[in-house]
Amino acid sequence: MLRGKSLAKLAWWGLLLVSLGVIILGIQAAPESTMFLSSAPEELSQVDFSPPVAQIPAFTALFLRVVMVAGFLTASLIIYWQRSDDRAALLFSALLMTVGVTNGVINYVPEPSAALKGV
Amino acid sequence: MVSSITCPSPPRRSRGFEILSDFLSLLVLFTFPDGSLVPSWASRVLATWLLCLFANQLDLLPGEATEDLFDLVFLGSGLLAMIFRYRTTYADNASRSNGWCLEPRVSRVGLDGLYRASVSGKPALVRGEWWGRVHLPHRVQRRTQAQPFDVHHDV
Repeated sequence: MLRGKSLAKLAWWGLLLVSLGVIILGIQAAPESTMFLSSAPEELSQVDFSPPVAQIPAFTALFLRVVMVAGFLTASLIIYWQRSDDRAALLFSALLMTVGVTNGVINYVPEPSAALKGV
Repeated sequence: MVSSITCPSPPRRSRGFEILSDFLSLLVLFTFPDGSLVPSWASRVLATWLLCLFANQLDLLPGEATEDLFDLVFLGSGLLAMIFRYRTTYADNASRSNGWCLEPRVSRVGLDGLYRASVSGKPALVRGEWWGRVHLPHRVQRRTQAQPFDVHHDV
C-alpha cells in the first residue's frame, strides 16, 4: 500500500511524463503556431510580410517559448529535487510544470491540431 | 504565410491539462503555506471550483466578459483564502510562539495596511495600533516601550 507522500511523488512523475508527451506532440505544430507574436494577430495578418522577413519573428517567438517552457520545467525539477518530501513544495512544483506547458505549448497549438490528433 | 494566421484556441483534447493547471494554481493558494486544507470546508469550495472550471472549458459560460469575470473571481477567491487562513489559523498561533514573532509581525503590518488604510486614510503602522496587538520578543518590547521614558530632562 502506497503512503500519501509516495502517492504524491508517483503522481508528480506521472504529470511529468504527460507534460513531456504534450511537449513532444506540440513540437510538430510549433513552427506553424509560433507566428502569434503580436497581441492582435488579425492586425498582423493584414501586413504582407515576405516569407524570409516573417520567419524572423517566428523564430524569435519559438526561441522565447522554448526558453519559457525550459525555465518552468527546470524550476519545477529543482524544487522536486530539493524538497520532494514537502507536500506544499511538491504541489508548487507540479503547478510550475503545468503552467509552463499550458502557456508555452497548449495555448499555441491551433485547433484542429494534426499533431495532437495523431495524424 | 502570414495571411493564413488565425487566432489560436487550445485543442479540446488538451483542455484537461488546462483544467489541471488552473486547479493546481487554486490548490496552491488554498493550501499555502503547509500544503494542508484548513479549514475542512475549503475542500468543498475547491470541488465547486473544479466543476466551474469544467463548465468554463466546455464553453458553457456565456460571452467573453463572463469568462473574464470568472477569471477575476477565480483568482480573487484564492487570494481571499490565503488571507482568511492567515488571519484565522496562522497569525495567532505564530505570534504566541517565541520563534515566529518577526514574520507575522511583518505580515500583519501588510495585511493591516490593506484592511484599514481605506477606513481612516492611514495604515495601521502609521497610527501606531500595530504595536499594541502583536506579541513582540521581550528584548524588542523593552526597547520600544522604554524609549519615551528614557529621555532625561536636565533641570
